[in-house]
Formats: sequence, structure tokens, C-alpha cells
Amino acid sequence: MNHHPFNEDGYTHDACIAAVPGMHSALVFTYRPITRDECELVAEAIARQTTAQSATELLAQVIAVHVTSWNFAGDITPDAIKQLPPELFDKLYATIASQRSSDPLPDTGNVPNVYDEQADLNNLIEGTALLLLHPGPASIDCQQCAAWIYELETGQRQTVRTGPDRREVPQPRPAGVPTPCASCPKQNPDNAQRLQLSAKNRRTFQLWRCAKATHFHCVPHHLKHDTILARNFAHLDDVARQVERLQQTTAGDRT
Amino acid sequence: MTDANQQRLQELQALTQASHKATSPIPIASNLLQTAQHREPDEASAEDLPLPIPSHPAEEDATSAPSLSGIAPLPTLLARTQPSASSNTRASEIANRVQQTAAITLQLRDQREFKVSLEEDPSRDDALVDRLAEQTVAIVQQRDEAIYQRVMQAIEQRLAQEVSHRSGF
Repeated sequence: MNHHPFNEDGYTHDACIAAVPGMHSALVFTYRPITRDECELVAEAIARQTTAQSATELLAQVIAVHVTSWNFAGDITPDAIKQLPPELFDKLYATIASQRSSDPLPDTGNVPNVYDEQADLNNLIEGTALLLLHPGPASIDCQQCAAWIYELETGQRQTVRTGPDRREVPQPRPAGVPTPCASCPKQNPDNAQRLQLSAKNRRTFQLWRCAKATHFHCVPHHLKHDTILARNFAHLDDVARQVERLQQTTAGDRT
Repeated sequence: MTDANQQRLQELQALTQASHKATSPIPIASNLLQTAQHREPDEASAEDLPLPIPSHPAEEDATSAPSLSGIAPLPTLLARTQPSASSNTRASEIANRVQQTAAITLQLRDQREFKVSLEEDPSRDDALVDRLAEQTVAIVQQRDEAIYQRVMQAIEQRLAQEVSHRSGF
């Protein structure tokens, strides 16, 4: 089943394993990283194997599930993966299990970041909490806030009427007037940077919102059984529930 | 099983048992959102937190259902500032600052200056000074706007009277 190529959650990574002369050519591929929980399950299962063949068979199945595209001829199947040279096979697993950095991509020369499960999750949860609880401050850029007077609650720039036609123009922050960091939930530019959703988490957040709005019809078929997407959506649901509960409590206190 | 097979099996077992990049426990939403509440006193001095910390549910069962109730100000939820110096250094720094005067000078575009200061108040806090400064500027701006409106209104009234007076002749 075809899916919209841009309707992703941002967690599909690019990677490359450089060619080794006489051994194998360069493998450029995309993959869904293996989570730490999965890694532990795989390690337990491999530890129970008694032959190299059965262990290879099992790992090939795991790799086939996580590699989503590659530059080699033929489909990505456990059989095709078993045919890879052992060195390439091991590097492939180590890459998708975040144990090894990718080699530079041949087209751009960039080295993709290794999947950092903990950092990504922290950013997703805290960034989403800020967006849901304080959309106004979340929308303000700290540098802009230093230059202009902002209405913190709404995230809009304050205006002042000026000139003969009394036109409303944004009001620059006067010299000596401090930024409202003391009343801002982001507290300071460094913290704001930390709380800003990363590009991949912004896509996950958008996909989650669309998924909720469409009863999950917009989730691409190939992601419907994806463990990272399921885990991230579960965390986002958790955050949304807690924020809702907090807002109800706050509203109750006011009345 | 041949030696080669045995060796390959061991390689695969070693490969899969290599540690994942994440070294500490994977966070869950409830833990992250409660982080600020569970900070150690040394890490979380009053200076770190511009808003008061809500009541401490540290005795709560860690496995109980996550809750954000009672911790309305997000700053406390998200204030995970890093402890920058030892607690002793920080304590002496705070003690010294108590004796000092917190003051800030605000300059508006028309060159008027406002000096806001808090003197020898042990409970003073930079955050409080900042907030006071913001409020002062907001009040002055509102007052300026009100005066401007009144002057404009008076001018328009005078103009209207002048016009009607002339047209009467």
C-alpha cells in the first residue's frame, strides 16, 4: 500500500556503511531505530540460540523489520539480509541499534546523528507540555522578545499607536527594560532552547494531532505497527491527559 | 557444532548484548513532569526557582498515577536548571547578596528614567525586581496612553467647537 512520502513522524533515519574494498560496496539505507527495550529482548532471544544459523536467522528478521529502504538491488527480506557479508551484517545491526555511528552520507557528506532515545523523549515530553500548557510563551522567540515588547499570555507583540494617522506598530523594547524571563515558563533562553521541540519531534507532534483528528486514518500504513511511534503517541497522550487534568483543576480553583 | 559456527554465535551474542546508547533509564512522561518536585534541596535553591515550589509530594508512591494537579506554574515543572557550583559557594554567595541593594534603572524612549530598588530586604529576589520593573513600565505606558487620549479628545472637541462657531457666522 502506498503512503504519503511526507506524512512521517521524523523518526526514520538515514545512514551509510562505507564500502570495504574486496568485501562489500557502500550500503546507504533508511531505518527505524531499535528501542532499548527491543534491544534487550533481542539480546535475550539471541542468548537462547544454540547455533549461529538460528541466531543469524533471528537477527535478519529483526533487521528486515527496521530497515525501510536501501540502495542494494532487491527487496529487503530476511533472506536477502542473511546473504550480506558478516561484517556488513554486524555493522547494519549495530547501526540500527544505535551502537555505531553512520559513516558520512555519499550525497551530502553529512554524518547523521545517532538515535538518542533518552534525549529525544525528554525533548518530546517537555516540549509538548510547554506547547499545551503555555502556547503563548512557547510561540515567542527569545531573541525577538529581547527586541520587542510581547504580551506573554498570547504570544503577540504589543503595539503602540503612533504618527498622525495613529497607526498601530510593534513596540520596541526600551533600553534598560528587562525581558520577562521571570514570568515566562521558559525562564531563560538556554532553557527555551532545551524546551523547543526538535524537528523530528515537531513532526511527531503534528502527526499525533492529525491522527487524533482523523481517528488514526492519516497514520501511514507502514507506521501502524511501529514501536517508536506507538511509544511516542502513548507519551503524548499521557502529557495531554495530565495537562487537561491540571487545567480542569485550575479552572475549578478559580470558580 | 563447528568452531566457526560457535565463534560466529558468540560474535552475534556479543553484538546484541552491547549497550544501547541510552545509558540511564528511559524517562516516562509522569517522571519528567514531576522532576522539579523531586529535586534535592542542594540542587534547587530558592534562587533557581522564580515561582514558589508547590507542596512536596515526595512521600508519594513513585508508581502512583501521574498527576499535575497543584503544580500549576509550568516554570517549576520545567525548571531543571543544572547545579552550577557547590552548595557551599552558592550559600555564601546568597549570604553576601542579602546585604546588597538590588536596583535597576529603566529608560523609556523619551529618555525618562525610572529607578526601581529594593534595599536590605533579605527576602528580595532578582525575579521580583524584574517583575516590578516590568509592571512599572506597563503602568507608565498605560498612563501615557491615557493622557495622550485625553489631549487628543480635548483638541478634537476644541476643533469641533471652532468649526461650529465659524460656521455659525
